[in-house]
Amino acid sequence: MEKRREMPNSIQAATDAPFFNFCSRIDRILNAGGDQVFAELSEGIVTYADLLREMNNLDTAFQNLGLSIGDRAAIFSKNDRAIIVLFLSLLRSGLTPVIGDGYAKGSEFDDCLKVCQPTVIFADADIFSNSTAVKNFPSSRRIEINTDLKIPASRDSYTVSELINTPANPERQTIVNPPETAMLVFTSGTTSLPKAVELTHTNLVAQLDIFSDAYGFDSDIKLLNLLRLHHVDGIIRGPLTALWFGGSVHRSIPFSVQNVSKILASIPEQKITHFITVPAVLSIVERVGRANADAFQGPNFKFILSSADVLTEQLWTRSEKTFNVPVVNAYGLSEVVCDALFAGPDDATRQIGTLGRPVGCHVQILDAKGLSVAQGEVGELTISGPAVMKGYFNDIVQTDQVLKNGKFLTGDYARQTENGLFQFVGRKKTAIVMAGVTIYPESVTSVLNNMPDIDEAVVFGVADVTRNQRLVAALVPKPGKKITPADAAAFCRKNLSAERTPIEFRILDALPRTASGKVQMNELSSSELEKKADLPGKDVLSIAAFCFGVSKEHLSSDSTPFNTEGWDSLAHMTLIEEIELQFEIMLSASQIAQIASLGDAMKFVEEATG
Amino acid sequence: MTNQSNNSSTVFTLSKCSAGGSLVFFPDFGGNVLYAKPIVQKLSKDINCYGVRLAHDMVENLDNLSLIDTAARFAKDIAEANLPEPINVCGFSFAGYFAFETAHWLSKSHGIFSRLFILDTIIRSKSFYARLVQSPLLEMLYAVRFLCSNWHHLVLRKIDPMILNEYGQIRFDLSQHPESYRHIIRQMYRMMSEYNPREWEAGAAIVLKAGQNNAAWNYGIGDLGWNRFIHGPVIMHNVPGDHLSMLRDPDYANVLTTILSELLRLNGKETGNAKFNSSGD
Repeated sequence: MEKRREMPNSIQAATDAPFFNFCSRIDRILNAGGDQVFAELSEGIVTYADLLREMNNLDTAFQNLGLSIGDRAAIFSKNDRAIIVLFLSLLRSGLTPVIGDGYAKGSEFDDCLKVCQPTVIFADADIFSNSTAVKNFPSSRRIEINTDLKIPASRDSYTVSELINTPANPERQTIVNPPETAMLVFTSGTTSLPKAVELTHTNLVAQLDIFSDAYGFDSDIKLLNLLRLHHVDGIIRGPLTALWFGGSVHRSIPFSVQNVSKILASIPEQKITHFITVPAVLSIVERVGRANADAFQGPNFKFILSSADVLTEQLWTRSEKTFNVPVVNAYGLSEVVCDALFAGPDDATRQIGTLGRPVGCHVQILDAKGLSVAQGEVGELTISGPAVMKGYFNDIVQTDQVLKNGKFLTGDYARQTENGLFQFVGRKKTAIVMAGVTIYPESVTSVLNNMPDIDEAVVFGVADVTRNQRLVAALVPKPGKKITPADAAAFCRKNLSAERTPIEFRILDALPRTASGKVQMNELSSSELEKKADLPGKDVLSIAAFCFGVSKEHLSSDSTPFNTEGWDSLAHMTLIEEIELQFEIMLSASQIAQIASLGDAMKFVEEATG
Repeated sequence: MTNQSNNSSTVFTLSKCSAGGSLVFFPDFGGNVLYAKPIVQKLSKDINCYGVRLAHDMVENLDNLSLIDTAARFAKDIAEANLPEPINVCGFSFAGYFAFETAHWLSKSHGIFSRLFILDTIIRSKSFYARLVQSPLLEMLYAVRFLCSNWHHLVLRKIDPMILNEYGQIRFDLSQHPESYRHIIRQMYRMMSEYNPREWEAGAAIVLKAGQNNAAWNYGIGDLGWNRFIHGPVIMHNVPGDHLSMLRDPDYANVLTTILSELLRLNGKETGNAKFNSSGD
């Protein structure tokens, strides 16, 4: 409780502090909105008048709870309406909202509480009941989110419904010491605990101004955004943007494969102007929604916006072709609120395969020593400008690692093209060194996504005893299609150099994804999936087939590197290792020097095993 | 794959064809000729391709063999194998030293003329002072980098058995190779660091140089150092890619093989009188 609200009632102090400028615009929009629809949700329609009334009521309720300016308030719920109203109210009342995953399990919820140390928690009943940490939390600061108007047995505890129905004071309180921090956003950390990105009001206003410049957002916007609200892609680019510009946000039909045609049918009905999504969702919409290909052809619709993950050239091209509508690709991270680089909507920057150009920020590509690289060279993408976060909450060490001289080090490798646009190359943390060669798995993923009968592919590195790391591809066939590791290896040999060809191919039914649609790399590289991979049988031909990525039927004792697909210098080393591993033998240097065919290998295995 | 002669021969067949002529590849650090795969696959219908490997008795005695001794054995086995003439010898990177010394032995001791193809092998003086005079700035930079990389070993005497890094030689990380390979690599590395090339007055060579190597790799030496040791014509051809990608990248390897194929068609004819032609292909 760092700062106290000042009594008595009076009008809000006139000042240039970002918080006041932020609130001033929001109040103006709220007061002017009247019966205009602000949000169309699965819980019902919320007008601007509804929103203003509830936000005023909650402002009074927060005072009654004794909350002070800058206090952190955690929200964990599956109820979109509660999340949106609470989030916007907390922001406007000078408190610091931090939205967690409403589907978090007990320990995940507890970890989030450890990181953000909230003064008050708004959460669904089941989340409270599954938490151990919350038991030590004062009951008066545990506010249950429910939809009925149940009066709790004890006056020590409240529900959100009660708070929303608290009669508002006719005049709002004066805030003398405005908060600097607007909100915290959870992002995945390198340790088991998540990190909380600390965003200021200056950051939020800068991002919203960038949206105006880059996308041309105005009061006519009707945003279809079905992304989860505990991510910036959902909450910032949805309700906050709608409120800031005086438009509306639409999320009345929850996203699922079964609902795709209903969602697409609602676009012309609701006069949607922008569909805000992520590549994983767009991929499903494009595949399942082809029967509704004209959904975006109404006079109001402007463009599809994809962000938060790599938009592959294949998906980008396919989506534009299927729906005959521009797809804009935005690049950004929670550390810069949402988006910093934009490919589109103008044709000059909407170049497929690029990240476009920066808007409202300065971008540099730096080498390992922090020096700018020449045009066309690969380096780490850095972003500076007013949207760059204050830091990671209560974590100076991790903040110092990514914020240097006012620049945010994204951890992503990129290059600048001749026409000044930026291209994504790979992620620093996913780049691997295999047998001395640096490989960006994303570039291999991009090639594999072009393989016929592949629905999705993702390539990543896993630890390897001798190579340090090895490249693994996880592949999902298109529905009704079948692919084998040998098919994938053959395709790679035609389209990739030997060193960029994955050593191992894992054929899966689906890629594991987070709530926001990002592929869960930890899950992919888990030992469970490794066990499911096709491991070779205990004979030289089977081992060789596994190492070279070919069918065993194509191999014989006469097979040599010079008449066998996939047998290159890297695969040769893999063959030696696998033979030694499978037969529990150690080949001598002399034998190694003599292996020129599979027949030689068979002979030496026989000698060693008797 | 069949041995050309008996089990102790170092020469083995990679591909056979009805056309005349032989193209012989020499082993790299790992003791194999896998680097030659894209070349062999493309030229297998035009020329007989052979590989050279370390025979069993050589591996047993590898600690005592020098690079020149090893090349003498290779030359002897090639001479005894009666390969279809004309004979072309070829080596990439480290294997280029074997190719050079074997061609020299074939000429000197067996009276066999062979054409020498060197794929991006640089040859430099062992003397620090000679190297300093030749490229003062680059040598100083190299020396500083070497000290930074090896101060544990030089000052604290903490030797990492997985790292091979003699002054003036490339750094080699054995941890990236299977254990069974390491003995061969260590001995090949020793051969390289102890190797003092002999001058070859009647020699000639065609050097294919990776066009995208940076200046530090080549030490600004346009002919990769070969004119100092080969007194006959040294013809230079630039090929696309850098040292590793020139053969690993399928597109670059295709260009290299096409150039090599054209050069092999000139077999027996004069390829030019220029002592050193840096204009590339």
